[in-house]
Amino acid sequence: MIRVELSKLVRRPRTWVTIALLAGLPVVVGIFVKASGLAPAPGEGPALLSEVLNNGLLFPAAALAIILPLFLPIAVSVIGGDTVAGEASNGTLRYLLSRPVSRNRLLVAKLTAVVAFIFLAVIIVALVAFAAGVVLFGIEPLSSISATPLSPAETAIRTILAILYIGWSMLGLGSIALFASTRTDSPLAASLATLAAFVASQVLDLIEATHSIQAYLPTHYWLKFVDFYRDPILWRDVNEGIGLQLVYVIVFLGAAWANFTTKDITS
Amino acid sequence: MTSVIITHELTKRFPGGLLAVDSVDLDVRAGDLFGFLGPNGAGKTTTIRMLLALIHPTSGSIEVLGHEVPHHAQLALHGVGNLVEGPAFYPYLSGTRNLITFDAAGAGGSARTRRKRVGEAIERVGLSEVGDRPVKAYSLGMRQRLGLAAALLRTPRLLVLDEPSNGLDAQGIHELRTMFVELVRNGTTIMLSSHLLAEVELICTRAAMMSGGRIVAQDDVADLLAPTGWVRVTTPDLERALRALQDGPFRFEQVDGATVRVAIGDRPAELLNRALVHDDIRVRELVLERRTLEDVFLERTGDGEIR
Repeated sequence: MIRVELSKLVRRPRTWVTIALLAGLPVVVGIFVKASGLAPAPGEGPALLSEVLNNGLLFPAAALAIILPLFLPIAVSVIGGDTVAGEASNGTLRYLLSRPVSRNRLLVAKLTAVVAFIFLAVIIVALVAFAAGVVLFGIEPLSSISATPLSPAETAIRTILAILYIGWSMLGLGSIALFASTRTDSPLAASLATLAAFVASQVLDLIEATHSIQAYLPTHYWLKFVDFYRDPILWRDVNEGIGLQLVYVIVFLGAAWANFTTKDITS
Repeated sequence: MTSVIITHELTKRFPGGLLAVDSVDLDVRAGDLFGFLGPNGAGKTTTIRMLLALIHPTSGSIEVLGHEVPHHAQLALHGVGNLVEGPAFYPYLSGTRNLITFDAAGAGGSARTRRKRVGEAIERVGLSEVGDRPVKAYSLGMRQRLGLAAALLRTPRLLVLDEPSNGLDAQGIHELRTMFVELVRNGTTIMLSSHLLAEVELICTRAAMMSGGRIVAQDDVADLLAPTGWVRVTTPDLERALRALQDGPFRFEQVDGATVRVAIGDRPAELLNRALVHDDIRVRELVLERRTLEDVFLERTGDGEIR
């Protein structure tokens, strides 16, 4: 069943359009930065973008920082919200379940497809950005974000770690989307509910009054992936982020499972 | 005959209180071409969804192919092909790819024979020429055919089909009937739901009728359609016939200028024919009156408009 879901994912034009848009945006930003020679001042704009003029090797990280706050979560909400509700709304859910496919298995396969999409998207964005970075800004042997310089090889390793972290960071939202998707037969409603959760988290993370709960918000540690580019890597917040996502994954997957396995399929 | 579907006091009350299915006892036997009839909203589809473990019963029991549903639905449903409330596909995939996808979902469809079986199923429903086109370009009738192909993929022992002739033209419906009869001849049991009683009458061997969530009739079609005990006689010598009948033992009523209905009960009609001919009355036509399923349904429900 997992193979079936993955095959549907890669055969669906929407998957590739979404990834192309995600990968294209940073390239556009890169072209403008290159053409104008103007990067945001350090500390402003997307993380790390200020550094790319000096070194194209950092462009994958900058690209991830560009899509992470908004576009990637939207994509995850849409794809995740569509998983079960999309099958319900076009009627294929009843045919899958009566094949028969057990509901547990279907849910696991759907989750796998969401995870696959997230990592596929993040990796392709990073690869495209790497190529664009090399073409636009060239490779410098040394790149610096904290005081100590990193070798290109070291930068590559840090980028891989960042990719893994960002992918993992999306899982909490992905689980919320999967849960929402089992609650309704409308993929749009499920995606919007997930987006609402995402926006709420972002809003609560911005204001000072909610400081006491901010460390528990699913989006709170997302941008901490830049800590992988420090030397030595600053693990504290990253670890918190990984643990927090795990909690969201367990809670919402549990809820999705409890809901889906007992649900009447009337679509 | 072994039963392939048995339900006992099957009941479904939806959250909100709607009693969709009320103490239904179904008995579909191996080899049946079983018609499952009733107007829209009678509870047919909810019943079928419970048979397929899509909806959980409120109470009562279900056995499909000897396995309890929903607890052992995975075992039971292996041998069941189905078409419920119209076909559904992934519009962005081709017809062939859709069937491959469905076949690969869940255990049971051998990957080695998949392409071959899919090809055969597509050919069987007459879609070979459009198999590689995306389903979003298919007409309603083509989707219906593809849905049937999906149901037939794993040569199931039991086919549960909900309104299979929807969207098909006269030619398509005829082909479908022929296919059903052939499938049953080869050992498949078919449960066929429909709101078109006449259609079912033509091919089904047994039937259950549902109205308002309950079963109002369940029997062999031949028994449901047993003669009414009336014979309809058409003759150019009607007046003499009426006179002869007046002297005879049978109740009768005139229908029009050439036809009279005679109540012969369970006596053989040839007696009447012989008596008429004996009196030199020319019999142009002598027909046993039979009920239609529609008559039976109206009889059993009292009212109940068939839509």
